[in-house]
Amino acid sequence: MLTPEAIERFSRQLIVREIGVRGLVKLRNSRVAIIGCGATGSAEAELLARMGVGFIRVIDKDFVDLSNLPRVHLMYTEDAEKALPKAVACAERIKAIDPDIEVDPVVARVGPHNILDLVGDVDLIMDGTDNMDVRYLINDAAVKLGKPWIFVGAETWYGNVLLVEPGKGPCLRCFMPRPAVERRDVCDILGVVNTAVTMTASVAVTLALHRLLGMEADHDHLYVVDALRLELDKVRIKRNEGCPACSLHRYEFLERRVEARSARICGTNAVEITPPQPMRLDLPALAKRLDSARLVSVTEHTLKIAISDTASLVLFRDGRAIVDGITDEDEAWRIYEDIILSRIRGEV
Amino acid sequence: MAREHVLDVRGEDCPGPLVKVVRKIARMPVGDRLRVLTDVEECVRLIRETVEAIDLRIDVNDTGEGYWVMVIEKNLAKPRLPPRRKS
Ligand SMILES: [Zn+2]
Repeated sequence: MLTPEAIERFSRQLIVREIGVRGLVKLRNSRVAIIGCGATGSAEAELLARMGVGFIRVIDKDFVDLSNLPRVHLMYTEDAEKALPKAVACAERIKAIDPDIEVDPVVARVGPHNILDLVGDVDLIMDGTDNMDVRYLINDAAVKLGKPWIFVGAETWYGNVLLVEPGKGPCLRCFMPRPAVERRDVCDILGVVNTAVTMTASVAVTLALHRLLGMEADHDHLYVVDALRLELDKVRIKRNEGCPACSLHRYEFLERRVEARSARICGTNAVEITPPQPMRLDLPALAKRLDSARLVSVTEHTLKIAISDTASLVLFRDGRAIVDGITDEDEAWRIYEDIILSRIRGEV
Repeated sequence: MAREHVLDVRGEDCPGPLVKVVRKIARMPVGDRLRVLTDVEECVRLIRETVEAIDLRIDVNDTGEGYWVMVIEKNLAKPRLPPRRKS
């Protein structure tokens, strides 16, 4: 549905011959899911929103941290102070940019248990994660559903982008066939330059635009962004006849089980806790029953508790938690059991 | 009684005229017609494409004197253009 406001708002884009009003209608009717709303995902989200995409689902499991702000779009210092979930912050800002966009923020960890639901009703999936396992999971889901997705990765000065068009071009596993499954102890996080992220996200969203407009969208090349030498290159990628996902239709990542666990988050001094089962917590109510001296902040989305001078715990509505300042997984789990599980037992 | 409105945007480059046309259509009552004069061919294409996309009738006439006259009829009982929001 086109409103006079939309025509005014997008007038500079309408005069681009390849877009025009028909293109705008297509974008307005398009549905995109962005998995991960950190540096890359939030840059993608902002570009897609300003471009006029009608439905955007932003999925992220994390909250805004001060150390994210040099790289992210759509998030501010106040969000970090409130430990606002990234998905909620992004959704609020997208609405502020354009109230006609339908935004669906999802604060959750993406896993085999929910991914098909999260991407089943969209036209295109965008990669905003920094985790290879999640990318292989997205790849499995997209190939299984026959839906396009755009792989996006940025590290240090470099970025990679590939539009995966299942059945027509290569998928992620065609050229990265051996996932580094047990990468947990080899945790060498690399820094990233914010312009490399933004350049990479721009390449990805340009491909998304081509795809959503129904133009010829390149699904045969891996785009390589080099912000150090300031070059954009592309490398031809071929389909792999032995690819477990798109040739053999074995979806190993979709078949994995989610277990209650605590796991060190790569490159941080934090441990992520996955609860025994998903919960639906009333955080403000829970906050009243906690030691008030420990309470740092509470909203309907997150509850932050100080554990010591150097450690804290952020609890999400679905029962997940991030224990920051503690690197021992068992210790983090004990703290979570002690402070959270013991108080909500029998209620969820 | 149906009226005819006139919008002379000769000398203006798009997208300005397009925005004016769309605002004008949104405000005028159903049944009225809008006569648009433009001397930019790109504007003709753009306005025609936009008006057709919102399901209204448009006739375009090249006067041969360096400008075009477009007549747009707000012929839909329920046009897809809702009234401008107040905010
Ligand atoms: Zn493949």
